[in-house]
Amino acid sequence: MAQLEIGLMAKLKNLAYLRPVWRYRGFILQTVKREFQSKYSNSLLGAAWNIINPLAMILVYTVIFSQVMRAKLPGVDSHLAYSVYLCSGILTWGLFSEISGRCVNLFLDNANLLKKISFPRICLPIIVLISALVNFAIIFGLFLIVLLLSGNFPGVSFLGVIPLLIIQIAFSLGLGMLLGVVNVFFRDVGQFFNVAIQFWFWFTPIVYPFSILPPVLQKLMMLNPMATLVRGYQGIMVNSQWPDWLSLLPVAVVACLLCAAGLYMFRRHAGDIVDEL
Amino acid sequence: MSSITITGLGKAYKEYPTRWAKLAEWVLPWSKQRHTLKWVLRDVNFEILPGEAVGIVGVNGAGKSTLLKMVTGTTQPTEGTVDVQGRVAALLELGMGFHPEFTGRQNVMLTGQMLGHTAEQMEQLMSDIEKFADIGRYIDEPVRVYSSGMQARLAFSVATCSQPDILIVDEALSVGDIAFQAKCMQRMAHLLKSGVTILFVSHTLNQVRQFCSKAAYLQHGRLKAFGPASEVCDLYQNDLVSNGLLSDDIVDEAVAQTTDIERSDLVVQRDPDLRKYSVDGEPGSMDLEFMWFKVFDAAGRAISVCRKDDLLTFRACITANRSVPAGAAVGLLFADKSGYHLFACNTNYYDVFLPAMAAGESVFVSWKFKMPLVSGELRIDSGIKPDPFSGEFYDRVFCIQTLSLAPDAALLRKNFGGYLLVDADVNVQRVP
Repeated sequence: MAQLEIGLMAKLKNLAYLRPVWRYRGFILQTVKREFQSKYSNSLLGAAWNIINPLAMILVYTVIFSQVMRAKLPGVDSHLAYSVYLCSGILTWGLFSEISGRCVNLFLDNANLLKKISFPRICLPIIVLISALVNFAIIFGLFLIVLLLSGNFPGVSFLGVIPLLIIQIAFSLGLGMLLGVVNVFFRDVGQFFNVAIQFWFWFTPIVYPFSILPPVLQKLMMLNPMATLVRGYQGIMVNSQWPDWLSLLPVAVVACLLCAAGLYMFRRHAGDIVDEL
Repeated sequence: MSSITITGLGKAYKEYPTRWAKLAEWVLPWSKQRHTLKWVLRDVNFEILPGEAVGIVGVNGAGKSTLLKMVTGTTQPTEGTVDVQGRVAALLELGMGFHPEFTGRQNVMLTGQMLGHTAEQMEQLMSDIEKFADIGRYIDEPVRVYSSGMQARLAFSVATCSQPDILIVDEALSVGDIAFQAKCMQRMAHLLKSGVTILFVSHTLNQVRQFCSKAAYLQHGRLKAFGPASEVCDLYQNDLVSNGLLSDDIVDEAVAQTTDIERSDLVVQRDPDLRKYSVDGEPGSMDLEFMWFKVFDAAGRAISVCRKDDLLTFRACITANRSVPAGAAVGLLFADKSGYHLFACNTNYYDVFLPAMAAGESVFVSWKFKMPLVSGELRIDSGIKPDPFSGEFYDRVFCIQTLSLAPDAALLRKNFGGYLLVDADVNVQRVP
C-alpha cells in the first residue's frame, strides 16, 4: 500500500515537472513556427520545399530500388508494393532519426539560450518533438494520399500505426535525451551517434526485406527495436496486417525504460549542464 | 517580505585530473569521487527588499557574474539557496540569447514568451520596445546582421519594457554609445521609482554610489561586505589602494633598507611586462628603446594607485641600440580609460632633450610633480621621437603603466564627479 502511494507520489511529481510545458505552450509553438519560417525564409519557393523534398526522396527510392534494381518483395508481385514497403520504413525511420539526432545535440545547439535565460528546459525536447512530428505529418500525409489514389490503402489495420508511432516516439525521445545529456559532458557521444545511426539504418530491414536474411542475422535483428517497429509498419502498409503485439511488448518496455532513464539523467544533471556548455 | 533572499549560497565547478577520470566517475557507479571542487563563490548571505537597487562590486573573477547567474536561475547553486519573488528579466553577458536567424521582432516575441508573457501582451509592448531600442528598420532583419551594440539595445529594451519585478544587469551598460548609456540609466532610474528591484554589476564605482542604495562587495568568492552603497564602495576602493601598495611593496630582505626608487637606479634590465598592453608590433626604429617604466611615491615605493596631491616620480629607463644624435624628446601622455587625452608632460615642453648616445648607453628620464587629478583610472602612454616635430618614433609604448586615483571619501560623499577639483571661490549672495 505504502509502496503504491510512493509510486503515485512519484508519478504526480513527474507530472508537476511537465506542467510548465503548458504554461510555455505559446513559446513552444512560436519557436516551432519560427523554425519552419526561418528554414525557408531565404528561398524563393518557400514552404513548397517542405513538400518537394520528401516527394523527391520517395521518387528516388522508388525509381532506383523498384525499377532499376528490379527488387521485388517475395510474395508481393507489384513494383508499387516494393515502393510502399520502402516508404513505410524510410519515412518512419526519418522520424526516428530526426527526433533522436536533434535531441542528442539539443543542449549544445541551445547553449546560447540556456546560458542567458532561465526557462523550463523540458520545453526544448518538446519543440524538437513537435517540429519533427509536423515534418513527418506532411510527408506521411503525402504517402497516404498516394496510397488512397492508387487504391492501396491498408484499411482498418492502418489504426495499428498509432500505437507503433507512440512506442517509436517514446523510444526516440528517451534515447535522444539520454544521449543528449551525456553528450554535454562527453562530446564523443554526438559524433558516435552520427556514425552509429548509419550502421543502424542498414541493420534495419528498410531497403531490403527481412526474409532475405540468413536465420542467424534474423535472430540478431530481433534485438533491434527499430527493426520490430519498422516491420510493424511494413506489415500494415503492404499486407494490411495488424502488428504482432507480443513482439512489440519488449520494445515498449525498452522505450519506457529509455524515457525514464533519459528523464532521470536530465533531472540529475540539469544543474551541471549549463556549467559544461 | 524580501524580493531576493540568498542563504549560504555557494558555487563550485567540478575539476577532473584527466578526461578519463570524468568518464570513470560516470560509468563506474561504485567508483570513488574523482573530481575536486573548485569554489568560485561561497557562503554568501544577503537579502534584497522590493524596490531596492543593489550594486555588486569586486575585481574580475570575484564571482559577480556567477552570483547573478544563480539569482537569474540559469546556473544551479552547489550549496545554499536563492529565493526570488517575482518575474526576473536578466541581461547576462550582454545578451538575451537571441536566435541569429530570426528577426529582431520575432526574437522579441520569443524572449518575451520565455519571460512568461503571452503573445498578446508582447504585441502590446512591441511598439514601446521598438521605440526604446531605436534601431529603425533593423527590427525586421535577422539578428545575425546586427552589430553588438544593436543587440545590446534590443536586449535592454526587451528586459526593461517587459515589466519585470526584478531586473538583473551584468555590465550591460559598458557597451553602446554614450547616448544610449544615458538612456539606459534613465530607464533604470524610472523602473526603480516604479518599484522594480534592480541588481547590477558595474566597474564604475561612482555609478554604483549614485544609483544604488546598497552594494555587495565580493572578494575571492566571498561576500566581504553588504550594506549602504557608499560605505561598501569606500571599503572596496580602500582595498584597491592597499592592495596596490602591498603587491608592489614586496621587499627583498637583503635590500630592505633601500627603497624601490634607489634600487631602480641600479638596473638597466628589460621589463618583460612593459609592452603587455601595447599591441603595436613595430613601435618604431628601436634605435632607442624603453627598458622599463615605473611610478614611485614620495617614499620611493613603486605604486599603481595614488591620491590627489601625492608627489609622484615617473621614471623611464631608455637604452640606445644604435648611436643616436642629441635632441630626442620623450613624450609622457596621461589618458583616461577610453583613451581621451587628459594632459601630457613631454620633455620638450620643459626644454629637456636626450643627449647624444652611443649604442649600449642608457639614461633615466624622470618627471616629478604633484598629482593634480582627484579621481579616475589613468593610462600612461610614452614614446621617444628623434625630435619633437618628427612623425617617426624611436620607440612607443601604449599603456606603459596604469594609475588609479583613489578619490577622497569625504569628497565622494558630496557626490563629486569629474577629474579635477578646482580651487574655486564660491559664494552665494542674496539679491537685495
